[in-house]
Amino acid sequence: MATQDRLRSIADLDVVIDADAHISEKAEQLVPYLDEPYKSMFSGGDKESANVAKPGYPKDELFRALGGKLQWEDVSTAEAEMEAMERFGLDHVLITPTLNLYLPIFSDERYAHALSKAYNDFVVAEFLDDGPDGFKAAITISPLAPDKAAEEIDRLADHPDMVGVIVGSTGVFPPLGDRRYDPIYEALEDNDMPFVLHGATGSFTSAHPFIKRGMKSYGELHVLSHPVTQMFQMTSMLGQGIPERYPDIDIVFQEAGIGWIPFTMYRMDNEYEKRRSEFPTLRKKPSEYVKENFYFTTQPMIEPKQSKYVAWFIEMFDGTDSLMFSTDFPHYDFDTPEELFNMIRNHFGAEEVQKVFGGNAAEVFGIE
Amino acid sequence: MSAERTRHRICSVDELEPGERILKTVSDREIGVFNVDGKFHAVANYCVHAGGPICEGRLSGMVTAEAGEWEWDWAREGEILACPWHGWEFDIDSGEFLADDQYRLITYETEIEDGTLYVVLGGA
Repeated sequence: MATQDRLRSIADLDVVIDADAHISEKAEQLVPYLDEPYKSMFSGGDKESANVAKPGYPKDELFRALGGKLQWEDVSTAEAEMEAMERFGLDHVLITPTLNLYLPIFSDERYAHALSKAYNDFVVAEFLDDGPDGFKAAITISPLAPDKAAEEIDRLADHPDMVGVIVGSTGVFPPLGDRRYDPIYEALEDNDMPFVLHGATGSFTSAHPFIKRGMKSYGELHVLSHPVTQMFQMTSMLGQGIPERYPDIDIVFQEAGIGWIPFTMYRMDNEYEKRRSEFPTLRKKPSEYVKENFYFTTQPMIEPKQSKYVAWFIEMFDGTDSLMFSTDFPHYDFDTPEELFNMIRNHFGAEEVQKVFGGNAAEVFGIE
Repeated sequence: MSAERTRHRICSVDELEPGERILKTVSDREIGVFNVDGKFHAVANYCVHAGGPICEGRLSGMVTAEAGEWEWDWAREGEILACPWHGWEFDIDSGEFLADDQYRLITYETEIEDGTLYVVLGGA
């Protein structure tokens, strides 16, 4: 670590990129963008009835808003997203979905695919095409029909503000090391796009029902939901040699914080050292692939409040080369830039901090 | 605080009924004043966690429970202020954060004179 050359204030940052800026799309906003027959299916009947006026995304009984103590802001329009950028001093935002992270747990792969297309066209029309230069987005796919997901990537990859591909990673089963997803990886490779994985607590009902049923509150479930999701997917991808098979694809894990990364990769190294014959695709230790091919967004900064421990976590996986600042706004556990900045500014050099706040994301997502 | 003690008019006492709140900018500070059952509380509109607009949050009660008891309860209705951003809950009277008493909201004294409600800055 450099000992000199520290950034003093957040104003010293050249660029701030939010690598996980959610919009809170509403199901009814997507209806005009749906392909047939779904569009017509939502145009008639008694609007008060379930699933008549709008798609019914999965729900659960948990107290998300704590009876109104939490007031999640509505970021379903370009204006609201611009306000968020201004509030937090963000130069670019990677727009990510909320409801459409649930697509992996849908029963019908045809319907899930139609919703992913409608959502993507909604984002292009209502955010990207008339929005400010700072708006970027990831193409949202459903993993249920991988060949169709690959078509969706090909359809939109040339849009100048579509800079990656995102999938809700909770509920992708079998997990992402399975060969059925080869068409998705091939499309990512052909279009030179990063692959972004984002968990969804609301998908646990279906994805990991025993964990959902065992955790009595949203809080208990949320301790586990994001890191368990990402550990499950990362272990599968490493175990099945995805970064060896597709070395040019950058893979981005969002919203699980930092602590799970060294834990998972060193645990996997241990298995590899003792049981190498079960991982014959790998040519080096799993941790080396993590450092070279995998990227991570920072939120939620829930590690120990002592910044030196946060710095140790980051050093354990060469994190200044792979971390990307993210807010997760407007979700209840969002981070402000200050929270991350104050944790790392005294432990890393100016150049390293600049990379975490913008340089790494600019490189992975091709943002100029 | 070293600054000089200054008093700033918020409103007439009649304008702020029990259960109501008012948000005012006083000397460049946004301050929320709450009437909780006739007692006034002035709080900076700045959550000590991440700077959220605490005075716009829900003022309600808190869930309570005794270890080993089946029943949970709701207590202190009207005395607990929650930040709309991340849900941090504070005792509006003491300003204390319920989950860790190292954190405390910025609160101000209030005064009433001739039916007018004032907030007092500095001079403490």
